[in-house]
Amino acid sequence: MRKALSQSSAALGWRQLSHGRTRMLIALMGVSVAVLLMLLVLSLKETVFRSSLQVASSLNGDLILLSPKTQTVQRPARFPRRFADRLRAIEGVEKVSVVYVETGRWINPWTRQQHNVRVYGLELDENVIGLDGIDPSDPVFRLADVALFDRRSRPKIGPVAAELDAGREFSTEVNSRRIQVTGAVTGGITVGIDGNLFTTHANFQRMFPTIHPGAADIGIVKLAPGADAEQVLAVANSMLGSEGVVYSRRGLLDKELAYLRKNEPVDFIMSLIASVAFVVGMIIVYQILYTDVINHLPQFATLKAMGFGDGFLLRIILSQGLILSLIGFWPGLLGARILARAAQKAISLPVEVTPDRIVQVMGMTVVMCAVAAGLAVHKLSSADPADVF
Amino acid sequence: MSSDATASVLSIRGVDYAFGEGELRKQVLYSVDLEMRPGEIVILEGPSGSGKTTLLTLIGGLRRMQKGSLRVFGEELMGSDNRRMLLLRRRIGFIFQLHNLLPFLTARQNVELAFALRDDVGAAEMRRRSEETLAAMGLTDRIEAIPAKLSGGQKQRVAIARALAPAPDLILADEPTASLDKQSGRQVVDLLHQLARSKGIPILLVTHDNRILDVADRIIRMEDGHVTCDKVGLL
Repeated sequence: MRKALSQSSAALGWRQLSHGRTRMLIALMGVSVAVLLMLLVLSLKETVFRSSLQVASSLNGDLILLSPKTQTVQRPARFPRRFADRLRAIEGVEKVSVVYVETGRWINPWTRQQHNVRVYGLELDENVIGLDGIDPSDPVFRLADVALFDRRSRPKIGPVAAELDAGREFSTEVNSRRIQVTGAVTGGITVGIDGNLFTTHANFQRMFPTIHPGAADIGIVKLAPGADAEQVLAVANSMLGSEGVVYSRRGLLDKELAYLRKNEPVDFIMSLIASVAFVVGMIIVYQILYTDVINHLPQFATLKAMGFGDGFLLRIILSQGLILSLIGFWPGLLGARILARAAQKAISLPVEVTPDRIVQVMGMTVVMCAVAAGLAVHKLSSADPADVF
Repeated sequence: MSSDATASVLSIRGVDYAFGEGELRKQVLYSVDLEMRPGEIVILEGPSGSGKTTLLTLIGGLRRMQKGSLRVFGEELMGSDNRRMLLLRRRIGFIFQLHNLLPFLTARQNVELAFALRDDVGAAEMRRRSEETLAAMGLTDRIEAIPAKLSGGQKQRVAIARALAPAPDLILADEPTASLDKQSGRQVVDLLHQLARSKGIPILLVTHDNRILDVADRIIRMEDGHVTCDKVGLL
């Protein structure tokens, strides 16, 4: 038999909620703010993680050689370049090339301010960094004092990419040398660095004459087709002993993630803020639903006396929690999108509220409101129909 | 349903009831016997603390029986479980001292809610019967008002309509006039009386308002947990 819509528990929940308009608005605001914070903070966290893993994930090799002193590939420790030669002796290894990495002093010619940029020295003709726009076989690359510029560098170091796109030549001072920027690649910067430059070993030496060319930062191993990566990895590590470490690509990413989790307070802080937002949102929703239950205790007891089961009353309150989460989510999403855009401008890192994040936070919001409703429902059991008389 | 049910709405034998345990145990009902026939309007009167309300909650399946036998519509409530008590309550119309209407529903919606537990009544019929009952309660022009817009007497009449509209097999009312002034109290009881009579619904009404004793077929007096007097009404 079809029943009037007004009699479903969800409809009663909605009516009860919307009856106290101010209270509902406060609850919705609580949900929205919690959603906004969770979305923003988790998106920022992802941004930081992703950009921190940028270097590790763009390295174009089957195995990666690092110094055992290296904590993170973002700031590698040096190892003797001859290790690379030793690895070449292992069966299955096709090529080993090394990358030099150092922080250089870049002058923004528009503002005459100095900024830190990371300079990567790459081997000619070796495609060791898989970023859009790097072509080590480009003849321009063979010139002296040239470098490629990372489009994702922070704008404060100068509108270099715009100059290049407009077809103008651009050069500036890096480590007291005049360097011409001949092209732009799409990479990504990390916390503490304002930009990236990619150049050749020879140009790297010109910019950093005090760094001995025998001390390399990252070794990139390419395997012959059909070689067993696991086996080469084992042989390489036993060959290098305690002086060098070889990682698989997966192994390197794991190491980087572990480093970030352990050493970057940003992970902890972001997770903490998200948790606090979750708890605060839950408390607000709980508080609103709880007072609603308390204020309607005699009515709920009356419903029980009339023969409505506990399940029906429970669903009234739970549906209120769900309604709050489903309505409150959208203003929170909107706010997070706006603030993410502002944050992107402020930190010059791509802050995106991704669909993954939206689904995750929506799930968290539903859980948040359901738990709050579940706690508030607890009070319902004290609605004893025998007390209404 | 056994044939018992038609013969007797209510049959109570030797019911004892006590609150608390051990030292704090306080007995409020002592071997209460009571019988109610179909269509009968019975008033249960007595001073406060005499056990009237406790007896009413036992009959309504709102409290667990402790001792004795209590049959409503032929069903024994001694040793009954929650589920059976819940199902029993759906056949009873309750009227409380306070109206306890849901403040966010209109008068009509509050009455309709009483049908929500009945599978045999569709939306249209539910609406028709709710409006009819409200009209019979003199609330024709207040049907779509929320409780906050109604006077005390009007709210109590809505509550009575809620109890009566689904045509329950028994109405249990506890001091329905307690929160009302003399005039609206009288009016509410008269309406209850008329409607129940016309539908043949038996009423057990707890009160110590002696202005309304005249509606009863029978008056039962309770004192200190004992039924002290069981007499045919004054009419």
